[in-house]
Amino acid sequence: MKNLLDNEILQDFLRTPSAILSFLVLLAIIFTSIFAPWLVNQNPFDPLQLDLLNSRLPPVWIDMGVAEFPLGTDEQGRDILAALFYGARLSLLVGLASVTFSFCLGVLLGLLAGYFRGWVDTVVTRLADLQMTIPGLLVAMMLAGVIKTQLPAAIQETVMIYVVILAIGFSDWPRYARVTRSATMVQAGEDYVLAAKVMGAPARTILWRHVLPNVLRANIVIATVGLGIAIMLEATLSFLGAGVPGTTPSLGTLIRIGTNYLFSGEWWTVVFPGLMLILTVFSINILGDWLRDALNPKMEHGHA
Amino acid sequence: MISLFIHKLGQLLFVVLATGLIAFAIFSYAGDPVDAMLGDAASEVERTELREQLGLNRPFYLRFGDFMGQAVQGNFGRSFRSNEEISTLLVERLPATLELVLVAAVMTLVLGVTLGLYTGSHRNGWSRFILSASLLGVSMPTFMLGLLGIFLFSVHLGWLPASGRPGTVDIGWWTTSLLTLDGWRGILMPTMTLAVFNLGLYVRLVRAEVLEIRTTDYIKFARARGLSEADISRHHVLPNALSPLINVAALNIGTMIAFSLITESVFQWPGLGLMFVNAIGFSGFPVMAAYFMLVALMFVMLNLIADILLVVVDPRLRRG
Repeated sequence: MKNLLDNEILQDFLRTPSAILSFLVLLAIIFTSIFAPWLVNQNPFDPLQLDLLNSRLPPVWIDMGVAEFPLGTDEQGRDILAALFYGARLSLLVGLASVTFSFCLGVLLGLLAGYFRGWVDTVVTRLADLQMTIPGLLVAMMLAGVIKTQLPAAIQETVMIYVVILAIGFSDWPRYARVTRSATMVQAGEDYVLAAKVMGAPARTILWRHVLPNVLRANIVIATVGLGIAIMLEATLSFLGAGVPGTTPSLGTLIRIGTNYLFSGEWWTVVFPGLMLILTVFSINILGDWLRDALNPKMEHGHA
Repeated sequence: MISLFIHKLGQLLFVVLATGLIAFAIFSYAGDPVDAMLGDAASEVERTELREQLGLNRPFYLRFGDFMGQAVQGNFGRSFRSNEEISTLLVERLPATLELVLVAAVMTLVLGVTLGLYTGSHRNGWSRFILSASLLGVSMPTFMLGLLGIFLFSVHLGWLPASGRPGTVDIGWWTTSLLTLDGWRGILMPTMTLAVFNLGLYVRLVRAEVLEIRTTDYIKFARARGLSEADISRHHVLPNALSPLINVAALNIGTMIAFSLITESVFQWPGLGLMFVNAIGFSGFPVMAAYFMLVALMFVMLNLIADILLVVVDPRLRRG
């Protein structure tokens, strides 16, 4: 049954050109970010490899551009192409890690609330409701901004990335918790859960083995959309100066640094990281859109 | 209906208290403003003196009670940096943010409902184009859109100002940029930037709602009765799509108030959001706390208004 279903989704995927295209683009972005050290001849995070003599060069197709730096360099002599690959790597990592964090936290709390009801449910629902009244951007900004000021300057550079992951991850758990809670409530009333209970299985086993697999599906769509949001949020935090520090720039940090030179006409330091960011998020969202329709039994698989 | 109202009011109080506690916790435990104000070179005597002066050495409960009492009266203390009353700062900067959000919200709602209805009831090239554009809109970080706009319309073409809030007129304590041409030129790009993400979201939500409604039996019957598609859209789909949309609109406006901090940073628009982002830079915790509470309060109020509107629009809810 499961194989048949997966096959159906695969069939649907192969019939949707936009999904295939965005999947390929995403694959390319992931490929370049994993193999970045072998694809470019500069590590943009290593100050020793930057040469100020090469600073502020335009892309190769403009006068003064050189083939060594196809997309130009920034004011520190950083190769923009290399910075793109490394920056996308960081953005993807932070995005994936924070989605994993909110996924685990939200699903766990949702499972507990939906299965045990009572005060656990009240507390979780109240907290989720409370947090939903505050926009995620603000939650993440507050967390990252406040923790940043608490860190000693010496460790800020190494620790800040984890702070950003936690802040973004924490801002999005209620969506998973809500969906998981209601799905768990439905599953908890099913005969198979009752049977497991009668057989004396502990709650831990029932939740982990029986309920969890049945509530995952609804969460996958949320996680896909969540990944796009997390990557955008990371870029926004870094752009506003409450995110990843300038020594190991993510796409958002690159754009923030680049804006200082936007008015003097050096657009490449902003436009290329920006396009990379948009391309990444756009591809993820197209895939998420397709997945939502494909997994939704109510839709007659048309993609108007 | 009255019980519903009381229930909602209770929720509102809960949120205000909870955000107040968070705001206060940040305000009192995070960061030492004394360090920020005096720097590392200051002597211990100077530090103690300043601490005393700012009232930072009293116990937690006293300061929290004080904080909430003062906050209710609209008094959030003074900014550590400029030493201005924060309430004065808020009042000064509120019009800039509200105007930005208001114009963006009108844009979002009008365009969003129109385009959403269209894409929900047509399956043609235009519809597909609008949908792809809306997906691009929600994939575009707000700050990136603003930067691209500045690069194109200010740096390259020189049509619109890149930053600030030009051409404002004072009406009492309210400053507005909606009365002069310069004002409109200044507000145009920031509002568009702010609107795009939410517009994309809204089009997609309206469309989903319309699609859902179009599968119901009463639409099938209307069609069977021989009503025209236009009549069905106007008299059957739109009224039924309205109530869920009111909720989403409230949520949307609330999100835009928060998102305006990005737009305001990009365009140096002198509103509340810019104040908040600047405050993060210099550990201005009272300012951060005040902004946080204010935005949360506006968000909850908007939801309350939406709930009341829902009852007005949907007679079925009046009996509950």
